[in-house]
Amino acid sequence: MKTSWRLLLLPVAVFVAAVAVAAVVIALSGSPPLPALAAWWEGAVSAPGALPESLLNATPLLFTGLAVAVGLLAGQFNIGVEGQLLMGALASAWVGFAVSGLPAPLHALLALLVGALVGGVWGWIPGILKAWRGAHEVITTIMMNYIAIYLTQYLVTKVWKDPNSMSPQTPEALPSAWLPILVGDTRLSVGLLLALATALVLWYLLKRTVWGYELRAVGANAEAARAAGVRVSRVIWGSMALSGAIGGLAGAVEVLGVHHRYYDQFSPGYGFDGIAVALLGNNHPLGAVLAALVFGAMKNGAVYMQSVTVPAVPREITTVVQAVVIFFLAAIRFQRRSG
Amino acid sequence: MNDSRPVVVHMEDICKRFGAVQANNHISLSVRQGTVHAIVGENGAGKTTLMNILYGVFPPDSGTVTLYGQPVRFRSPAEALQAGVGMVSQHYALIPRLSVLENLMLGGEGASFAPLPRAQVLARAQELARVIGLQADWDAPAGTLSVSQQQKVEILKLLLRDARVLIFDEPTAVLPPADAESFFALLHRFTEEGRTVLLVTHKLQEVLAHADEVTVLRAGEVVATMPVRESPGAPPQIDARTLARLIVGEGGVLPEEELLLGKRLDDKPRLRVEGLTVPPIRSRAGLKEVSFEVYPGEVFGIAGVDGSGQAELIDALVGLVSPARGRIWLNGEDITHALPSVRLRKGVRYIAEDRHLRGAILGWSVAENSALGLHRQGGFGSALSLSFARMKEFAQRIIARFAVRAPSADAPFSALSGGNQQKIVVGRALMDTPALLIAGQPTRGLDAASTRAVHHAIREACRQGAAALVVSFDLDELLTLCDRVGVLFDGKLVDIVEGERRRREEIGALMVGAVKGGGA
Repeated sequence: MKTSWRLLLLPVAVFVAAVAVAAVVIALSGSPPLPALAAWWEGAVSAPGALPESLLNATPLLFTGLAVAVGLLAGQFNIGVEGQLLMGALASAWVGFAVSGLPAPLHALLALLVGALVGGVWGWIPGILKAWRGAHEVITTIMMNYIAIYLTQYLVTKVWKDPNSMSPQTPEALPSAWLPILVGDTRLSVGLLLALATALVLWYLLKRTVWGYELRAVGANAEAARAAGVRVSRVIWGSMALSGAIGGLAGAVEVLGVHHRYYDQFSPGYGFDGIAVALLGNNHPLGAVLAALVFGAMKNGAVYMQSVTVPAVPREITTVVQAVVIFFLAAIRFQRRSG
Repeated sequence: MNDSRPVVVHMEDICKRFGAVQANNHISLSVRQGTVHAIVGENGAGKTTLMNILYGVFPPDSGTVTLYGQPVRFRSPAEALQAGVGMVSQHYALIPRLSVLENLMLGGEGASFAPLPRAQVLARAQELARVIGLQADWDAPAGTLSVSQQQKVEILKLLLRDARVLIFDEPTAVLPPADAESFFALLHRFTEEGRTVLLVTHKLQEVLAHADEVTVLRAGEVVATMPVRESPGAPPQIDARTLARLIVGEGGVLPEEELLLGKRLDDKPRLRVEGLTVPPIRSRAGLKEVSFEVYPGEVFGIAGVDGSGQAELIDALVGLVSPARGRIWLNGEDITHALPSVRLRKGVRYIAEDRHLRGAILGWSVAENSALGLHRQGGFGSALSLSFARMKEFAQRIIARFAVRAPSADAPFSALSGGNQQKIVVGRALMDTPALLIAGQPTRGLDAASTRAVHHAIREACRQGAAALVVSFDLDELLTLCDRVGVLFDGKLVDIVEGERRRREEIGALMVGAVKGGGA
């Protein structure tokens, strides 16, 4: 398995380079970089209670990273994971507060299912537009994002607003719909296990089934796939629907596992973070696990770093790292293709 | 040999390695001005690699290149062109959507925001086009030109940059015979002007008829360099057999003479096509009211100038396009509108005419590619557990049977040479006897030994009960391989020749629209 180690080398090198760039940015902003990096590490890993919180941060990133990766493997650049996540989240929140009388595990399962389903439909729409009419998915998914953002905003302020609150948010979900907490005294729910299981199932689907073989064939050379009897349009909308469903699941797990309700702008852009996760994970489901853990820990650690550094290093520094990662990996891939 | 002609290109001790494959192993080569220097060798002998090094596509691992006595080290084809070295590759490098003129300007634009030198380029291009006999609409997208026109545009592109050294990689692989003849007339014109030509080819007759010198490569090394003729126009001093011996080495397989014709194994046609009409997709002709039958045990050839409707015929038979009119029966069953996957299940196998576009997935391994199209046939496990071990095993069987030079079944497909890639694509279609084989230029770019292996495999499949339809632009291939040859002209099947009429002249005349029966 020498090659798989070599596959790891590039993402690791790129990540280290990205952190180095971030250190330079920190230095330019007037904070000494080394203590800042130390605080970052402390907040992410070694401080008490840091690890479970890092894993909590990694969970939505893993889902969205997988969602983006499935699309990319089929040759579809799904930028709409954010919208699929919002739609899935709101749908599961609705099941959580509006459906009553179901026992605990069933209620949560139903809410997750509905979240995935709605997210899947939100991904399927651009998929079918591409498959039938050739509408480019990058354009349509961006448009679907706007529809999702404003639609959820409308629903949560006008239709399903919590009557006992001033903020645009739904009523709290019934406890029967909450995801059980994994480690006592933390916020970490079984959502993490669900994300890991999704990665494993996806890995199997992609690598070991005819369906995955055809999906990868379409992504690598759609014309050759068609000549080999693959129904390309089916794969296109199928992969977009699956990608959307995983995005919807990301939202549902956040709602049912952490917030227990949907509130407006609860997602800081998880769907877009998924692009960096998928790229750093080399479009591999298990690579996405590692990438999500790294980014999740970074996000978590940056909060602590912001609070202890003087002058404060804003936690948005993680965005710098993500951006540099995308930049480097895109540059390397492009160079390879033209070489 | 007239040794007074100065050496223009000198390559010394060139080595190049790709992964486990030593593509060039201490190769030295001298080419004299005003000569046609042929480079011959089997697939994977290192011909294209050597030419790519000369053209600056990639640098050698070691060794030097000297041009007009000056050491050079091209870092890109652009630099090579600047120095007067140009190449027309096997896969033409025109951009299909850009117009002919825009393609000509590509690479010579000058400063980024300067206006394109449209007028100057057009003026020079028109002048040069007259010289090389190219008639083209300068504003038409390059993709709409015929293959030989595209080749001429490529040549024109090099002449515009005033290339003094011209490299051609398998230039006649896809040209109809008449166009090939005019291509060589052009080559001789170039050498008379003092230009120098490097000609990579598999066709030994071309070497004997047109080259001044020949270098034989085998397994990345030079086996021999020798003069072909005393002076331009003189008869060749060597014969094809000698050359073939050098190419394959001791114990190698020599090229075939003619295969025995097949026998119809059944009176019921395996494939019946009636009134098939397809609107133009990849050619200008489309397919018009084509009817024919192919019987089990027989190889049916399709001849014709490129763009006469071959692409539409193939697409309709494989199921990639729905015909406007007409019907297709397989074993009496109507499959006119059946999906490709359904046809695959019924035993239709397809060797794509362009392996990079349709035949394979370059980024995948050899093993994964060898299952492409067969992946739903059950040989590789069930839909929910695809077995990579079985794919590997299947790939190894193809590698063994067709003598594919591949490091392993796990190697990336793109690491194989063009000819070896083609063997995988062909082998995949023929490993289990198909009911109907649709082959588009199955031996394009293959050397003599591999061509022979592919032909024998097709014949063997037909002896076992397959029916085959072979589309080729190589008349010799059709005459060697096919029992009957249908000729397409302008989308119509003008005639089907068999028996005594199965002759080169007869088919050649039909291909260019001469009246059926041979009258002029």
